[in-house]
Amino acid sequence: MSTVLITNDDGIDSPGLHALAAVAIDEGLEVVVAAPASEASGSSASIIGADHDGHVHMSRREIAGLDVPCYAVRAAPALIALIAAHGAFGDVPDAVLSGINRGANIGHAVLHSGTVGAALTGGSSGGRGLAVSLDVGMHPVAHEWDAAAALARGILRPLLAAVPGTVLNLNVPNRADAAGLRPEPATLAPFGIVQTTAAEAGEGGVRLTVADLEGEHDERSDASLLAAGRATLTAITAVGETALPDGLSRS
Amino acid sequence: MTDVLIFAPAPLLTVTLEGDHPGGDLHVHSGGQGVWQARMLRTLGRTVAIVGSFTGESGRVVQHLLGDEGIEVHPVVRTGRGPAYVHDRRTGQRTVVAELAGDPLSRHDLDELYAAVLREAMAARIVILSGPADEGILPDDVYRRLAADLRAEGVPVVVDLAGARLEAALAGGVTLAKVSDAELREAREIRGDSVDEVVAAGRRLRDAGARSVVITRAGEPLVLIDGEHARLVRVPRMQEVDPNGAGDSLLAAVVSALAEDRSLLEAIALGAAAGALNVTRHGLGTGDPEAIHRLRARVTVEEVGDDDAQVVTPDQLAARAEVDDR
Ligand SMILES: Nc1ncnc2c1ncn2[C@@H]1O[C@H](COP(=O)(O)OP(=O)(O)OP(=O)(O)O)[C@@H](O)[C@H]1O
Ligand SMILES: [Mg+2]
Repeated sequence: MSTVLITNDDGIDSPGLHALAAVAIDEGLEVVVAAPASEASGSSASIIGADHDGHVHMSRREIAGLDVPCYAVRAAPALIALIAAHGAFGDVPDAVLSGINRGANIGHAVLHSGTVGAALTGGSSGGRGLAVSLDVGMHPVAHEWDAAAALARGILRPLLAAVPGTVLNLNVPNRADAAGLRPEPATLAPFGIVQTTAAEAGEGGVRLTVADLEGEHDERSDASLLAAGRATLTAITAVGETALPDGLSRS
Repeated sequence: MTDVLIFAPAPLLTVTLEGDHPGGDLHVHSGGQGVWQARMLRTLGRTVAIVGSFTGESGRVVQHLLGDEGIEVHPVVRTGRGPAYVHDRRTGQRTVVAELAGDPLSRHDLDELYAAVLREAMAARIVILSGPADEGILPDDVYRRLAADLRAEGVPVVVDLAGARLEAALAGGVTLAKVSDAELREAREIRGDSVDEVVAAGRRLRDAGARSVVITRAGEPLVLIDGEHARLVRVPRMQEVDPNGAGDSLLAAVVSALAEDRSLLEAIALGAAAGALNVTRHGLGTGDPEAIHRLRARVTVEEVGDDDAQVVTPDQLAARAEVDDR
């Protein structure tokens, strides 16, 4: 049976995290939930979190409706994904499922996303990754977590069947009928949208979104498709090497 | 005193063939946006007057038909070709046999219409400015001048316009502007269909010159911008038999309630119910006040929250960099 780690960057109490965990359990996967004890949006692939004693501290949590091990970890999500890949929570996960994030993560700005950072870490550590974000925008009337989770569920089996290293970024419009959408392959917008943390953990500051959609005209980009109410899916890569510029390369 | 005055620059003669037996039935009616709204307002029990141009033979017929429906007509009568259409619906769908735009209004006709609107508005509780069916009948700028002059007279002005005519009316200043999301999409004011985008577009329209703005979104909850408030007005979704004219029903019901001194929110709720009911039946501008009031009880209103969210661009973020004194 496949094992998955469920994490996020909004923190252990986020209903988006719980919705994602619930569909992974329904799908029959071995699920461990380990998420930041407090908001870590915008943490990218940061591995901040070890305490002054050099240890990563966590506590067990009961989450209603989730009959699986759950941990609130005092660390950024990528650190959680990294230690998970080295057995910190039992079996090494075959995939890291990160989200469902409150707010879209699209375009090249996903570099800064904690949601995406955890998924990329899953991919870089020999497993796979899926980042899921709900495009709640500025004035959400409702948060359609369950619809987004149902849509994400359809991607779990193909992800687990894909080669290790595969990382997917899924963005879902905030619609009650989102479960019926078909995720569309999308390119990354030049900048896009990323969520970050505006105040110190737990102080209830504003939700800060960094967005730049100027000069965004490509109809196939995640920004365009999502704005048009479509769900977008992009296979992304983490750090890799490329050719040195002319003059610095030795042939 | 008339409850509602409607500026309908060029009412249409509509001829429709219906029925599935050989030959069918011939229906001859007056039509056009302002006329459909007038008819609905009559059903709701309001007294209605129309100021419009009536051209040639077809114009004479239209004028009589309106009078027969109990609508007070203040005509500017002229010779020439009036707007009209002939549709054949015997096959079940609408086949266009002929659509005639009618002659543009001359400067003289316009002056007369203008004077009639200002004169009759003095005796009305509220004025609706509606558009002609076709382009090129009258200059857009008439809507700016009318809106400004009517408001100066102290009469509430409601507009159901789009594009350049809406822009002109807003420049003059209106009490309430109604648009549909489809019209906003056509004007490239919005791209998608998120509540955020619609609220933002509504606020722009408000800032351009409307006290309140209603944006209808067919079966999706409509957005009401009322000063600083943004609200979503939700009505049970109906199976659509004929979606045409839902917007006109909505507007007429809203104006009907406003003419009775109801609050804007109450008026919009009634309008949403009237729009919803309209899609469940054939026929433009018809409605059953009983049924509208029953459905009204199921309309809900919610405030659109700001969720304490802030969106910044990377440039704005850079500009927020600050060196704090130690
Ligand atoms: N399927 C539906 N179910 C419930 N209510 C509806 C439905 N379709 C329309 N309505 C109601 O009618 C109102 C107006 O609908 P819509 O947005 O289609 O107007 P419109 O495009 O201006 O119409 P038209 O131009 O055809 O007169 C909506 O705000 C809603 O209250
Ligand atoms: Mg987040």
